[in-house]
Amino acid sequence: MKINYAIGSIFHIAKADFLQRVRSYYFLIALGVCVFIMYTFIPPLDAGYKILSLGNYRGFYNSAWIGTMVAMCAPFYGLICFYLVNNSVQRDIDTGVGQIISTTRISKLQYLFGKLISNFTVLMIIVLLMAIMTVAMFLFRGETKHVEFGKLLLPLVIFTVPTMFIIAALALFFDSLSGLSRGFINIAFFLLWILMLSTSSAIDVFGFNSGMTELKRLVYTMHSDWNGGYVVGIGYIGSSNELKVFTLESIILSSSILLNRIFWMAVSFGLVLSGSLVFNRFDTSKIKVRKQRTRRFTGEKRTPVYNNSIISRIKYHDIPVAKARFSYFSLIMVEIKLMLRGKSTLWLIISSGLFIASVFTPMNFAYKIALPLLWFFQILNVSQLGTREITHRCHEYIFSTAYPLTRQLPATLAAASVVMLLLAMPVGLRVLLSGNLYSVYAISVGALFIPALAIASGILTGSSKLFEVIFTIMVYGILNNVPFFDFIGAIEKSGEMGMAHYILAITSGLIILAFSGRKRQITYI
Amino acid sequence: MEISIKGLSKKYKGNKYGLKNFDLELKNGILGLIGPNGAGKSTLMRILATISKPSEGLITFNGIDIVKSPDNVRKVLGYLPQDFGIYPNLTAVEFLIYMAAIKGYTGKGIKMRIEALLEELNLIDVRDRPIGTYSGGMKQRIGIAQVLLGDPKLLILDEPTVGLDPEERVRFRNMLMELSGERIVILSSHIVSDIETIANDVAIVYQGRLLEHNSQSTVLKTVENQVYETILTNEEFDSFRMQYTISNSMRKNDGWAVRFTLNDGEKMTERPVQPVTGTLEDAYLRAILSAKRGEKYEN
Repeated sequence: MKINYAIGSIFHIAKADFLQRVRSYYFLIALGVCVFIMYTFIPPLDAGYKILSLGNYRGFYNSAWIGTMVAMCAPFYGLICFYLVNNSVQRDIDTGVGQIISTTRISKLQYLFGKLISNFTVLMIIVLLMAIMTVAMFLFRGETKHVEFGKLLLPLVIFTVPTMFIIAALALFFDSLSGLSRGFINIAFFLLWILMLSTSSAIDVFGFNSGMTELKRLVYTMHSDWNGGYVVGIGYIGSSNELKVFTLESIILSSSILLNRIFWMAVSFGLVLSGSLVFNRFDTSKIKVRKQRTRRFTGEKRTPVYNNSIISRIKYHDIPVAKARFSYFSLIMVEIKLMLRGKSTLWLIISSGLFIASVFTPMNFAYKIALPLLWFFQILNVSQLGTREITHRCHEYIFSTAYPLTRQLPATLAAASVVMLLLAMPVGLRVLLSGNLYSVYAISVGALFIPALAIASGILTGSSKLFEVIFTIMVYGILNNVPFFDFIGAIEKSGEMGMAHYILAITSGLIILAFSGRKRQITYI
Repeated sequence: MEISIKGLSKKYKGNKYGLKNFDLELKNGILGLIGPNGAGKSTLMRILATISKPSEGLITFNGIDIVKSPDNVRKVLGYLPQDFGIYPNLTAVEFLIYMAAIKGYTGKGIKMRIEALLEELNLIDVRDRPIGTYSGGMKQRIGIAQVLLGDPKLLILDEPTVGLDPEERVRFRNMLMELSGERIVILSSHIVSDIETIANDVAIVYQGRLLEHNSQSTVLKTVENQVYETILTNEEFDSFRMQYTISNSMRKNDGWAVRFTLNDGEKMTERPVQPVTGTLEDAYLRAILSAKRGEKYEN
């Protein structure tokens, strides 16, 4: 009886969570992004970039190579998948469903187990789509027409499926740590993700290092003239005509790879188990409320209105009437205040540290590392810009004020751009003093681009996640010298390509999208 | 100031109507909107607040079409939605300054008004606390304060007394009465006594249609000499309930004390009854029940 109840509870928790996710507009967008990524990650031979390149060699586009390429890159879209499933517990808190669940007999472990199944199932749909896209892209871009489904799809099973399980478990583990802010979780995972992707890392969570080790061994065995170089992730290589061809005949598999995958799946499951020990089961009294600010009054002490047993009268006509006087400056100032309010001390310390670093560190570090990271740490301030009215259910009365489209939205965009520009001031001044006007222009465009992207994607998708994913990937791209993602003009190659002009054009498009989306919101709430 | 609504309809997907062929004329004063859940009250208020567009019909505010020129209304509007939130990290003062700036009010004058509003709404002691730490009633009062920021000429208040304690409710009702003279106030509430206390006019809405719009005294006349009280045994109660519109019942030692309304032309002869003065709640229940029976309002 008890077992039946447990199984039933887990099943229904998983089912409800799964249905809630897959019926959301955001999930459709995630599938669209997945299709786009798959299209990008299997580039045409003359694309000028490679996702998996091997120094002076390139892989021959057969089933084994395309399957391996997709599987090796799984950790890169693992970041997107994390953001897709990282709020299953938080959503139950936000909707109040958690309060109801907490009054049932379901245990913390059963609840989390149900959520884990849901997370994993959602990610399996992504894997299924990836499998379909892998086959489609093979037919589209393969150098041979001979399809070997085993070689094409088995790497997904060996590398990607466990990676998705680990992502699902990690997301749930973070989610179950009550009291951690979503912002902190997102940033913590991003840093952890960079660590996990590091090729020098001994912690080979995604099986990436063991897979690459096996691949390198195969290349070296077959081609002694291989120069040992390789790049995983978007790498700019120019023309691939001069590269020699390496043919991977079989999939990459070894006992150490299999052991690695099983070990990390077990560890991640263990994390979920430990999460159930600290999960507060929606007891909001255990969540720390931000310490109450006490402000001293300088004026005379006011007497509360209710100070006697007779109901006092609100004297409306005694309340002074203010004259209408609109000011963009005032609105931008209060928008800045709204953006920066309630941030943690940790955020302040990190932001201050990076700001100071951008003043005093060598220019190369300040521009390529400190500034992107400093802006990245504003992700939560910025990501809410397009969604906060609806998220906080203020939209009805804000959108019913006069001229919401020409007053509030431009002020929000301007406020965020001002904050970004102020943060970039040290680097901006330093490049200006060195006479690099292009960089000043690129930084200014970037300061407008980020809020425009946040507002447009927030308004169009109703969620801040799309922006968080794109912004994170772009910052990661800059840190890894990928010119296509350089929205601040920090990478030389991007300057040669004139990326800032493209970013400006994209920003203009995003602003148009934001305004038309908001107009629709105002008219059809 | 006047609002004119003619042939207003709001159609949703699946050929469902939130409002259907709705006509209403409003002048200065308080209009109480009452109706069951899903009747269309909030739909009407959202259209009047310019955040939703009608499918058909014309709404004018002082002769100007509000769909074509929404900002004409928005400049003088104070709107309190039924289910609203507030930025939790801001303090009351910060939030009201933010809302004032959006509404086009800046400077010393608005700061003084905010202080006075907070004082009158009994929030002055918590003015510097993040709103996230407020109780439901306090948040509701912040919502009311944001409505009053610009001294609005049109107030649309959807369930404004939700979450207010009895004392706050009385104070709020008194304030509405005080400010209603030169303004249009449209107020919806499930608490019929709130409407009864303050509204000049009453509109009863049911399934997207306007059943009744009249002055409160005229609406009350529909139940004049038709509301009675009687005592029933437990056995009698069930059959009586099927026959008459019971607006209130109270369990007693010897059975039930029941307040009920007779239908038009009906007389009660089989038991002793005590005539009582009809209330708005009696009139409302009678109108809704009549509509349900299809006696008066055919679809």
